[in-house]
Amino acid sequence: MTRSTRSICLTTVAALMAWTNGFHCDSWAADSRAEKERSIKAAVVLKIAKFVSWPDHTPSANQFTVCLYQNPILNEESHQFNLEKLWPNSVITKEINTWPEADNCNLLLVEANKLLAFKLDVKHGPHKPVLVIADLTQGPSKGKAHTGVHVALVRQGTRIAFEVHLSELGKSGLKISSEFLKLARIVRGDE
Amino acid sequence: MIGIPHTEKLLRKVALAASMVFASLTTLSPVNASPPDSTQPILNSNLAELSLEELVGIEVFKSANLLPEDPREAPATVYSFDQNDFRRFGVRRLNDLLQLVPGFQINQYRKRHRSIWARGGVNRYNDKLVLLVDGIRRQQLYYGHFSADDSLPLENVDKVEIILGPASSLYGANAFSGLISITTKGFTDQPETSVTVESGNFSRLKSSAQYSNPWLQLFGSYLDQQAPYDSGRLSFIGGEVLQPLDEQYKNASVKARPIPGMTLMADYQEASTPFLFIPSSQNAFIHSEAWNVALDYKTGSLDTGRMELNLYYQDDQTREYELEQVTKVLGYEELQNATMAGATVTGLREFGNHTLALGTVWRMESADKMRYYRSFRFDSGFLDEPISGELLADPGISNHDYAALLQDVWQWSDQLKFTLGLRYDKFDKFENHLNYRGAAVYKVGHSHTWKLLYGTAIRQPTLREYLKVLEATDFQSPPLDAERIRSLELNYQFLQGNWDFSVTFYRNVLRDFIREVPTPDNADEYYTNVEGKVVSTGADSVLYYVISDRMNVRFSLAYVDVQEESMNNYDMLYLAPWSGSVHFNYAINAQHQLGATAVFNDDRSDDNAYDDDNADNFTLLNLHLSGALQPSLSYQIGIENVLDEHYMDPAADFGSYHNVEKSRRQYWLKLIWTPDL
Repeated sequence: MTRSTRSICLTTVAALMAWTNGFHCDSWAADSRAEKERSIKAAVVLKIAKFVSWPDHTPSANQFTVCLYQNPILNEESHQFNLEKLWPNSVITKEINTWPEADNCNLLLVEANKLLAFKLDVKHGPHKPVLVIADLTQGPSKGKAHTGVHVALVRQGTRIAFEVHLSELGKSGLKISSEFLKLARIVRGDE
Repeated sequence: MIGIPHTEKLLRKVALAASMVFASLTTLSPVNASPPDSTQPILNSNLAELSLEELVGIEVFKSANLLPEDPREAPATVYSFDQNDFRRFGVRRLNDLLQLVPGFQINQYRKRHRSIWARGGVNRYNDKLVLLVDGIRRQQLYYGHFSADDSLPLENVDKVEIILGPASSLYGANAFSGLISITTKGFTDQPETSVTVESGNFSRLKSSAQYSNPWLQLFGSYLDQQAPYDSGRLSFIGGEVLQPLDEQYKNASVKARPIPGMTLMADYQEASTPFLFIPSSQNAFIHSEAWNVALDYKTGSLDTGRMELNLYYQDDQTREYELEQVTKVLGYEELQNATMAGATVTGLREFGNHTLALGTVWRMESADKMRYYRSFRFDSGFLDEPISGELLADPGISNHDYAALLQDVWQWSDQLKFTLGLRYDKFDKFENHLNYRGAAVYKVGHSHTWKLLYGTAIRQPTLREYLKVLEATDFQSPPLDAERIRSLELNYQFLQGNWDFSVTFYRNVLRDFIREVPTPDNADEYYTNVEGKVVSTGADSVLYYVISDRMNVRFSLAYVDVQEESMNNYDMLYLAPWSGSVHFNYAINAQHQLGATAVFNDDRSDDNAYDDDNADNFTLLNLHLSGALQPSLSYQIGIENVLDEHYMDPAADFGSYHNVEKSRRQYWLKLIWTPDL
């Protein structure tokens, strides 16, 4: 390595060290982009649920049930384990494989690669007071309404945004605050 | 009416539940996925206290690889594919997937490999593109080549991103026509395993197994088959071929995460493949083994400063050899052993509307043992005395390259973003180079995006190109310069409802194009820079349309015109001016999907003396069916080249050899078992 080359490298490394001296050890915990992403998504779901009202006859009015559509990764044992540790009261999660199983759900999360199956499943099923939120952040938003989906989490640049399908929401019997609608993009149409 | 339980405490539990659910949704995320600590709430309490307006203001998708992950906003023409796409398109190899990228043409060569030409970047080996696997560059040093075939099993690939156009301002030499970045499967929050078994004609039998948990990922695969080519194919001199077609591929890899942010990786690849189009006087084989170990470490955030470090070391041993047909005596042998190592340190930090990246790179390449031995030639038989020697004029050569890079992404407004990147490379060979790239990305509403891009790149000649020892001639090749390219691109994207469309127009000016030519006495081939410019102009586009819940269709179309100034602006040989694909997908029901893909290329010209080998236009038709038999058992069935058409590809080495044929009809069944652990 020549002296000039060594100088270039050392200068660059020194500049990097100086530049990034704001590191904190606790940033390790938040280091994972994936973890940050899902934490923010979870927080967004929290806030969205806060803007929604369920009808009186909702079966699980005294217990809030979050369901996951056709995801085999979390099995029942892991749910129970985590529930016991983290959420001893009032909120339960469960996996469902078909729309008819959603009767006891308050909120149903659908991931992008299960969206087609969900749409075909829900197409001929009855409307239910279940808030359906689809995670469509894998790609850019197409501004498209999806059958059965009330709220879609989408990307807007480097940020999370959401799209609301008002006609689907109306059929479900759920009510959503106008304050929320001010922040959302409204999508229309059956497809 | 009732609300959901209204206490903030309970709402936070809802969020925790959602967080766990999202944790499960992202278990296929690459290396950065961290295990949720079951004793700590996953949801950061600060996040729970933020308003919805504040939450949607947080940058979530900033990429660590200097480019935003949303391809629509990347300062380049980017295509991205994941496991769902592999299944949707019914592809089993990276090459098969790349056929669907507009602007790529895949060309079969007389050895086993296929070469990827991006926007008219013709070359015998894949040395005008860079392949990154988990951020680490992979190539076989002697030819500068990487394989995108069965040696790179898609079962262990999570995502493939393709950048078309020069990218040397970020990725250095040889990111010339573009870049292929592969992210392999990573850690998962819950233990996961999957086993695949695939069988097909040509005696194909492939199996793979994968296990992952929050800190460990293991993968292994084995493939044994007959290379899928016609036994009646002709050799590169137009005669009979007796070469057996048996081949094997082995892969093993391990990833571990000893501390948050750090990933240790090791992998091993072994391939034994036939030389497909060798004359009947001999059989020829290629055996290669490659080890790679790497460390990747990321810490910090863009707000406070983020540092990314990777280190790697690779050992590559390749042996090409020929056995004389009758005696089975070793007639020729080439050893192409090399080691490569490198380190990259990059810092990223936000300053207001600017995101700056500053990095330094070191790369070492060393030719360890590159020798040949010859006792037989197909055109003259056994030699009186075997000869042997070095493959390179500078045996044992070792090059150290250093670089510094700077990039600024300036978010001028919500609609407009500028990117400016500079990279200075100091090479042991081929002088020093400053490459740069500027990009403006302008969004008009939700549906329209415009990009204007201008950038440069270089390609260093490979060891074989600038140090090849010529056989049976006294001719001395002239010194070579690096190839240089300047590129101007205009991209438009439309995304709304059921429509997703993009088109890119480009003009590339290439100087010092390296061409393979015969020596004056026709005894061997050498490489030389051609005089004048080579100008490529073209366009590539993709249209994706969702017809209904059950049906969607995707079209890709590309046009390229490449003219060489030194050849009186004649069109470049071997290239198809038009190429493209059509893909149709139909969901039979929620569990089963049917797909059809047609890949087509226009006529390609050559200047060889054979009349029976025209590389005419072709349309390859593939069919596939996929679905789930049980929750933990899914399947894929495919037929490639359904009509078993006989198509030729040009022997594109600027020589006069006979063209070679593409692979024949293949049908296959794959079962994927993902048991609950």
